[in-house]
Amino acid sequence: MLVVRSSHKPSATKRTILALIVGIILFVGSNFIDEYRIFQGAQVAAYLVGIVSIVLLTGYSGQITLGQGAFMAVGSYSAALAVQEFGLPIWITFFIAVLAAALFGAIIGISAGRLSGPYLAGATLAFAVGIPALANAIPILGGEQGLSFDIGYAPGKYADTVSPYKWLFWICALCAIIAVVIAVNITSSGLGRQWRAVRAHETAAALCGINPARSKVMAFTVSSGFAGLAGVSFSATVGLVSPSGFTLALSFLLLTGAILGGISHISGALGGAIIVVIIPTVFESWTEEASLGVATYLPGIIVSALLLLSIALAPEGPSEALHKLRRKH
Amino acid sequence: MTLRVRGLTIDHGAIRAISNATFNVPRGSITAIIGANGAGKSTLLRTISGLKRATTGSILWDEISLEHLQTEQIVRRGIIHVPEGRSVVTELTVHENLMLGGVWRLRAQKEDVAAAIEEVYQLFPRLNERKKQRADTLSGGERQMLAIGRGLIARPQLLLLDEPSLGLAPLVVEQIFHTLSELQGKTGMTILLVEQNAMSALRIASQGIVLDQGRVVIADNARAIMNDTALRHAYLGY
Amino acid sequence: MNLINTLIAGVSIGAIYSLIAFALILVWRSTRVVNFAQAGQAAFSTYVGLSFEKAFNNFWLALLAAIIAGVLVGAFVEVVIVRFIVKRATSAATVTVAPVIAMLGLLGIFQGVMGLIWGGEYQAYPTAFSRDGLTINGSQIPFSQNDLFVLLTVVAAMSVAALIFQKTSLGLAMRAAAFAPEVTRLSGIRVSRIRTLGWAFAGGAGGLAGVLVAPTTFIAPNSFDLLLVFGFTAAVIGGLDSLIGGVLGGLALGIGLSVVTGYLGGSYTFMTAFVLLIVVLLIRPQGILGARGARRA
Ligand SMILES: Nc1ncnc2c1ncn2[C@@H]1O[C@H](COP(=O)(O)OP(=O)(O)OP(=O)(O)O)[C@@H](O)[C@H]1O
Ligand SMILES: [Mg+2]
Repeated sequence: MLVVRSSHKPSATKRTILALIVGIILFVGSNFIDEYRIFQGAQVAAYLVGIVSIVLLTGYSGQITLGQGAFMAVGSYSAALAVQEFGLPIWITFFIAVLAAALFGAIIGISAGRLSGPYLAGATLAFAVGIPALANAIPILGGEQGLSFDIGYAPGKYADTVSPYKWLFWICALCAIIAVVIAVNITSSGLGRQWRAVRAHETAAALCGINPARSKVMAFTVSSGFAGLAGVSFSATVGLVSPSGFTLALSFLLLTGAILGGISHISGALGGAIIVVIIPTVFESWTEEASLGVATYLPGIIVSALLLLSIALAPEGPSEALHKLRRKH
Repeated sequence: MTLRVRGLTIDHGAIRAISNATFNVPRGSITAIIGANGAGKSTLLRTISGLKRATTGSILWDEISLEHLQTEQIVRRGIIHVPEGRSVVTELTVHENLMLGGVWRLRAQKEDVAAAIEEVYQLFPRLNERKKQRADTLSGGERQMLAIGRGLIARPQLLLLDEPSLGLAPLVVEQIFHTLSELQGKTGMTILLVEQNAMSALRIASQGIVLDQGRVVIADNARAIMNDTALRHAYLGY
Repeated sequence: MNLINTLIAGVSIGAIYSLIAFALILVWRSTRVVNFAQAGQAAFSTYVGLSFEKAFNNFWLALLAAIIAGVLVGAFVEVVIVRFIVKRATSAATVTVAPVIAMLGLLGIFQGVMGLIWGGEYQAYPTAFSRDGLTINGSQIPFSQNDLFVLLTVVAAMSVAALIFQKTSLGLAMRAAAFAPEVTRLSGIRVSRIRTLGWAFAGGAGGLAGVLVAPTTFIAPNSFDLLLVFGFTAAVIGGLDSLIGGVLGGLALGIGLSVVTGYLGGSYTFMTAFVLLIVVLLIRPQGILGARGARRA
């Protein structure tokens, strides 16, 4: 991920090769790590995609979203429905999730693209609260219990040798690697430059022949597609698609990860994902002796405090802050 | 009591707006500050009123240095700044805008505030007619009157006026300047008047200060500046 | 009769939305920040009220405690956190995003701290008056003594607020500072102190709203999240800058939602509010009562 820094820009082919190498390392490496860590790896991969979707929308296109969990829910429910109603194979449902979420994002983007700042924040917030509530109310979506989403075992003769967690990890990691490669290619393409231009100065961008409205809707669409992928990955780790999986807390957690990792670069997403997955578990083991309340609430407090601090001290993320510090000296 | 500015330097980030300015504003008179766009006039006033911090140098009023005081404390010392651009609170009525100018004054002075508001109404009868109107319904000239009026409620000892003539018809400008000059004569306050409209300003001023790219190039008798053709060509463009 | 019943059923909850909208607008006017942490502040204040209720078994004392807690928490948040963040958040890329995220971080801290102190379970909050519908001409209407109490309390609170804003120097300074902070400073008013006061008032309104709504929603660290969304919707309907607009927006929202719920069923409540929010934002972004062109902040 570090090679994506703007200092030396690798070409699309180089990136693909690099991604392959990372993939092989993860594939081989996963054989030497205990099951629990592997499961956490799958979680990190799922969150990573979600954070990438936020970085694209908020970091590059400048549109804040408090409701990324809602797009994830749309993707996940579509995938689970495709399995339940049409009996489609799991791997196809990943594509369905991306398409459904992207379509949905386009529709939302058309209206939300006209808003900014606190208005957009409020609208997406309402969205984050509303979609799970709506899902709960639609009978075919299984109410409170939700729908099952089981990616099952590795195919054929590997079913016995590859543990379910490892299989899960491979799938999630593959999704994450593909997502990151695509995201990096997008951000270094003309589209990414358009987004940044609109973010920096809408009027100036319009004078340069960019259509700001279209650019914003595009960002919403693309970002939602990524969120849909994050949604299925996430549901795969849970084995379930239910309203309680896509709470406001999830949206906030992803946003937190995006901010802590650095909102203005894809490269920060991995760090952000690791932080939001690891911090709660660190505290779980750390406070085993302590009361249940501490273990439940302290991680949230710490993560929120980190969020507040990073906004106050390094609003563009740690790498950007270091960069500035270095320039000063 | 005079306003003494010593070695004042003011920066906007990397841009130096005022460099090493030194001048005096004598008490009980009108001093005009003139200079081209971007010369640093507004920056200078904003620093005197505490909205902006100086990089180095000192500002003394009544032998008290102002450069570390908050705007509110500076107002309490009788220094009132009427900023550029007809700054009134458009969401408040004319009367409320005037009251705003006296909110900070003690309860014991409430009667004087009421008296001051009456005086402003006498000075600008058009405001009196529009008392209950919201300030955003006023014309540009009326707004400028209201902005100045708001400043007068505090009974200033030093009034900082930033381009009161901006965008107004010549007739209105003459009227406002005439009023200012009369007011100064009556109250004996000190006025620091920033103007693009150099001739009108110098005519009512007793002293002139010419700023050029952040430097004080001339500080002299107003009449002398008006009569110095070479100087006018060099800095005032006519 | 049926329609009238559904209308009056929405009035008291609408009044509570008005209070939250009022709190959000007050903060927005003073700081240009939408205080998403208001949900946490209100819940915190309500918990303080509940603790007093448990200790002294006195509803009125608890109500007072909740309001005071709200005022103190509001002032604390502004002085200790908001001031710092707003001063820092100047980088171009994050200038609109940073305050929103800061408020979310604050919300997270509030909810965590509440969980630590009071636990995560939903707890009941008592009422001072009966919650059974009043009986008029032998038929019961969906409006209880408690609803009447809520409505009158909100009306009283709003009247006090209106008096302060319209008739006192403090109110004048607060209105001026909301729209022209620089002119207000130049008029000798300590705008930073006015801002703190705005947050304090808003916090008090949130505490009051919390105590009024808690008997219905119960109290848990995140039980007011939905209330926040409704309050925000009400504030936007009114145009974020207008206090009266926000109050009317809250009432309109409460009544409107009650009608929809009455005819379509409770599961549509949220979607209706959401659709309403989006429609208002798109068609009349300055709000029904707000000033023109104030929107893309
Ligand atoms: N907030 C600011 N940030 C950066 N630079 C500024 C700022 N305010 C003023 N400047 C710069 O400082 C210089 C002086 O500006 P100032 O407003 O004091 O000029 P002025 O003499 O009042 O001009 P005018 O007659 O046009 O009002 C200008 O070069 C201006 O661009
Ligand atoms: Mg100027």
